[in-house]
Amino acid sequence: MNQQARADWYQFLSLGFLREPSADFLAQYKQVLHKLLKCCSPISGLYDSLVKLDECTVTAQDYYDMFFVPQSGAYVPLFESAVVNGQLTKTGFQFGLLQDRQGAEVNKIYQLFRFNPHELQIYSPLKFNPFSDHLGFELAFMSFLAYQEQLLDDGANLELRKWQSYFIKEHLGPFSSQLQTALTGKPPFYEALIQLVEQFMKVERGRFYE
Amino acid sequence: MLKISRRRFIQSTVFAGLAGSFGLGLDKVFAQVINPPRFDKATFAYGSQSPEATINAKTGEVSLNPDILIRHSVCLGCYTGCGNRVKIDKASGKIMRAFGNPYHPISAEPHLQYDTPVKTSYLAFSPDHSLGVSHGTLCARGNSTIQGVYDPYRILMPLKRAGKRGSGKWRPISFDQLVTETVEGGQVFAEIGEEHIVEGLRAIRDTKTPLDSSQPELGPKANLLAWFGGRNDGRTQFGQRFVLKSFGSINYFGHTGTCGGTRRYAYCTFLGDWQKNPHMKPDYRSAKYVLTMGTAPGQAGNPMQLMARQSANGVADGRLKMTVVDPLLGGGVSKSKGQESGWLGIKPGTDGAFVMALIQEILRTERFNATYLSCTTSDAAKMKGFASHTNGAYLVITDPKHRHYRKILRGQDLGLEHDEMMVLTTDHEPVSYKTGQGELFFKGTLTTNQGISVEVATALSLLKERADQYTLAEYSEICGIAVEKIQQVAQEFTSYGTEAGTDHHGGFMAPSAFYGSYGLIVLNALIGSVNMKGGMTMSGGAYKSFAPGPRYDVTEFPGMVKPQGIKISREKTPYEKTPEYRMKKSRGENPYPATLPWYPLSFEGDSQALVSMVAGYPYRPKAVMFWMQNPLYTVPGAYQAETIAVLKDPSKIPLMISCDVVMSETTSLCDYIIPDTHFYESWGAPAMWGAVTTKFTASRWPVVEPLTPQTPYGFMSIEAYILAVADQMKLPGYGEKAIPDVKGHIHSMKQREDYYLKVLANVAFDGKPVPDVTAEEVEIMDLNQVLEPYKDSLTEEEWRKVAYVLARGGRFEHYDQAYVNNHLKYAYPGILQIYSEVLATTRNSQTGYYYEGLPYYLPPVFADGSLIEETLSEQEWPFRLVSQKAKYRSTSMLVNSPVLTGIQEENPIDMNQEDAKRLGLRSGDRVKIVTPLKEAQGILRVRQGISLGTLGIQHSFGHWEYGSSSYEIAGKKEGGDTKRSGGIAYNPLGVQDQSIERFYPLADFVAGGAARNAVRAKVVKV
Repeated sequence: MNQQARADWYQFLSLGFLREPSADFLAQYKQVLHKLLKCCSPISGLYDSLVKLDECTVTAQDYYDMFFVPQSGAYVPLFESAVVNGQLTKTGFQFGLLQDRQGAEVNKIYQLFRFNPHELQIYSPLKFNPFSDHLGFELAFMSFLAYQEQLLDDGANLELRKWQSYFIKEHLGPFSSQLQTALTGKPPFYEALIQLVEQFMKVERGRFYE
Repeated sequence: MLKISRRRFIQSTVFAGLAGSFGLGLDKVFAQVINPPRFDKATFAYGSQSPEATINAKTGEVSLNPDILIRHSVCLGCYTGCGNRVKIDKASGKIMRAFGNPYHPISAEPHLQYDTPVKTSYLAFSPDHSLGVSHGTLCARGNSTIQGVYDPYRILMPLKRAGKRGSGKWRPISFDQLVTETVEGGQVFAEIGEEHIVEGLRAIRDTKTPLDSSQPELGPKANLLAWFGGRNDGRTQFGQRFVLKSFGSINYFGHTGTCGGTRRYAYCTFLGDWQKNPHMKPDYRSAKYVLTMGTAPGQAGNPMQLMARQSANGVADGRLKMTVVDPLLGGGVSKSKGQESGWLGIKPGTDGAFVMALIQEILRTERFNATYLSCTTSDAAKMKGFASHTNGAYLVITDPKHRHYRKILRGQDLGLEHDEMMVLTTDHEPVSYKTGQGELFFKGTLTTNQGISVEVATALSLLKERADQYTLAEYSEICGIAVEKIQQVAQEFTSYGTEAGTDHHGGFMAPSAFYGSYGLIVLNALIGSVNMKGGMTMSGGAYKSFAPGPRYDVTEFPGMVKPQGIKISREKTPYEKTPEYRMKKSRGENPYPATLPWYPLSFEGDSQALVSMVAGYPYRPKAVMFWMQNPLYTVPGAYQAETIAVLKDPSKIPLMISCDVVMSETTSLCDYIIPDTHFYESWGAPAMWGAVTTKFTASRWPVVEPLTPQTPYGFMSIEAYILAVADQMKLPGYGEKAIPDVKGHIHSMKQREDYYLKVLANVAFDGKPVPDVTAEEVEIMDLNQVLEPYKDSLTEEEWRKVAYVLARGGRFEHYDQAYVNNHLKYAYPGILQIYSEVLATTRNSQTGYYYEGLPYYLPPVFADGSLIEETLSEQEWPFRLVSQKAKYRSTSMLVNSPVLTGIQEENPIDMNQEDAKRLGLRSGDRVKIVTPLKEAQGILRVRQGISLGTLGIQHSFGHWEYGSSSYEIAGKKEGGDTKRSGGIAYNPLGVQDQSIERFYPLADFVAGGAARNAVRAKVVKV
């Protein structure tokens, strides 16, 4: 997978969490999904996860309930700090504190790159979300770095790869793994999307560490 | 170097060919970064501080880190006064971070038993709750306050202006020059070409000569010093002692009139006490139902942490239900378990309508506590299990022709020999209230055997009459809350016996809000919850500190002056006692209206004092001190051309001094600046907020050495300045004969410690004295380092006990002492005023009419009682502004914390999604808010959880000084941190009172509290 494809993948995954799933949005989202599907090996985990996602439907209400309404019963704080500091208990997944060490560190890394997720084209209430470690923001940041890699020379890219490697190892990777535990039984579209994120993380871990 | 063009790159993605709005828009941020920063983990290492101690998980044994010091202090991040413990690096003496003090009832739940050894209290650092020690916590604001100590723009030298006022040009001067010039005055600005002569403090301090011989009521010339002293931070009494009792000026002001004054004035009315100004809060720890209005209990109000924690615990445990009525859904409204808890959006400025609807419904459905209300004495109430009583059954004279019209009926009014207040038996026979029982509802004429007839009504009958002024449907229409919701709240509030209460605060800083506040408080009288466990508490109060105490009397001293005359804020004095009234009457003129409104039932009217300074009415001070107070930024509607013109003109106010840690908006217009200590560097014994049901006094001491320079009077600070001025002017109360002790000796005061340590000795010895400090505790806190230089200020016996108090951050009675059976241990002893005779016999200075003596719905009005709607119509001004307290800001401060500005640099303008849709606006749009006085631009945030027609704006943003703009000190540029100016400043958007010709920002009709909320506005897309 070249840098272009990586960047596209990250952007695709990120959009799923950062945009309200309106009919227009979903139509275009599925178009991108189909393009990605064409580039995937049919025997890869990515392919299966993409197909599964393609079969799912989602409503705007699912999106609100899951990510914005704590009283909904379906609510998930999609923030790294809350997820990786949480734990599975007898009564379900108990989320940890917001803006813990992970959130602070992610924010600092964004600042080093002058990456401001609020400047992106995202669901407008998210522009006022003060926490940097939102899954969508982290995926968007990786997309940003992967695109950058396309643009820069080799010397600069060496540093960039170190940052990407670190970010996956310390942030997105553990975040994605733990999310699988936290999100069982949630709306199928988002469950499938999060499984797809984890599949993609496996590919990325292999790229950087194996 | 770019390998491919950005355009080519974008076109090559799988997103190519889709609509432009699809995708994240990453290309727009590409230009911002080209070369990545060098990868270095250390650059973002986090949480790398060494722990202050380690705890053996099995044994609970605490091992201290010898390189780190922990000391207790009090946080002033939002002036709740939470207890904190400060982590200090011993080697550098610098603060590393702050935590909550586990001994302190606001900061820990439950707080530690007071006699717990300090070393054991370190267990609070552990997240392991099985150790049995609660965490002490601070909020995000409190955690960030340490940055104020090390603020690069902190003022650390005395400054004198080196250009015209407000020019931003300063030069450092010596402390001696500062004191000499401000005391002696003269042509002190000749060096910059200003030839005018400044009258110094020595010349002004004349306690005998009237400041105006034609208006002797105004008092002596000494009143020409006005002192804005800000919030009570535990040092306030030091300033008051100087201004009121030593200098002899009556013009000392706190912050109440701007902050939450309307509620405080309503409480004075309900409790009938304008001397101690008591107020109440719900007993959040035990209440089963709380109705809060105009405050978000999770992030605002005082004491914020205690309210947030106890209400959250209560709701989560299923013990407590809460209804939050507010134009904005803020933090602290939880439905996690208490399904009936929740938020009701109300139209700003209509709280009184909602409250009166509740009163109407409770009276109509007879869900009030008749047994309680019929008790007319304290003893009768106690016999029936209650802890307070009201005047609900008392008779009020309702005949306008009666000489005691509007007063409570006395025996003499019926031809009896006694003047006791009268009530009715069930047979409608008038008897003294001392019989203990009274009929609740009666309106009619009483005729005695002697043929005396008096028209009377019981207070409750009058309340019912007023509550029935509108129908429930009309009240609903006014406030925007459905009738069934009103009925539901009325039912809930009256469903828990005496275990319910009401809370409100700054949300009632709106025009005509006084009566709504009074009504909300009176609701508690209808259910008998005052002084009851789970009901309303006036707090446990403080240990004797700034009062005549068991060791010292810091309140009196030889040569003490009693200030005389009228305050410039037009408070505490009825208009009918003023020179203007006298002169108009003597000329045969109608004395009404007054030039500016008078507020005899208010106190600490700082906002009114500022207005008076601008107007020069009733008189203008010649010298003004702003001590840690920034009225230009905080007083709604004050930042106007008229204000600036007066403050910039030395011929109007010749001497303006500020004592502060930063260049605030107000400080920037002064002549001299005195550097003050940060609260981590100062002493103090802060007064406590209500809602803490037990007794406590916190202590603040310099946990780190002040960064301000040393002077012969101690570290440079307000205290050093006062001591120096007093020394130069030989004022009473300072020097050798300053503080008497209980044995008749008198002690000196030459440095601040001589005062504060004696205050703390009083605390330590009040009642049963605290134990002696142990050697281990002295070592842990390194108390000797701080106290050794002042060892002569106290006796040896006192030292050991004061050190015990300091080691724990104050003196705290434990929660288990809060109740005696189902009564609160500390109860308000007076009679509760459902009808206030004082209020009912006070006249409005603009109309001459009496105020209503009980709660009713008064629509928003100007000072003369005319409807605001008639001048500023709904059609032209369809929106109402309301201020909010941001989670990451507070008061006017904290913009000097990069952590907080980093989290949130700007404040959005919140708008309801239906309003936005109607106007074609979306989140992120730049809009202009226009009020009748000002306009401002900001970014719109469209949301749910905000009432229709409301615009919510967080306070504490949009500073135009405070280090955000640059200024020069000796030619060197300072400030210019633009992050500090982010967002909109709320208060300049205030409204002018259209019924008054002069500059006069809108204020509450009865007591003059600043009308910060319900400001009329319109919105324009930019």
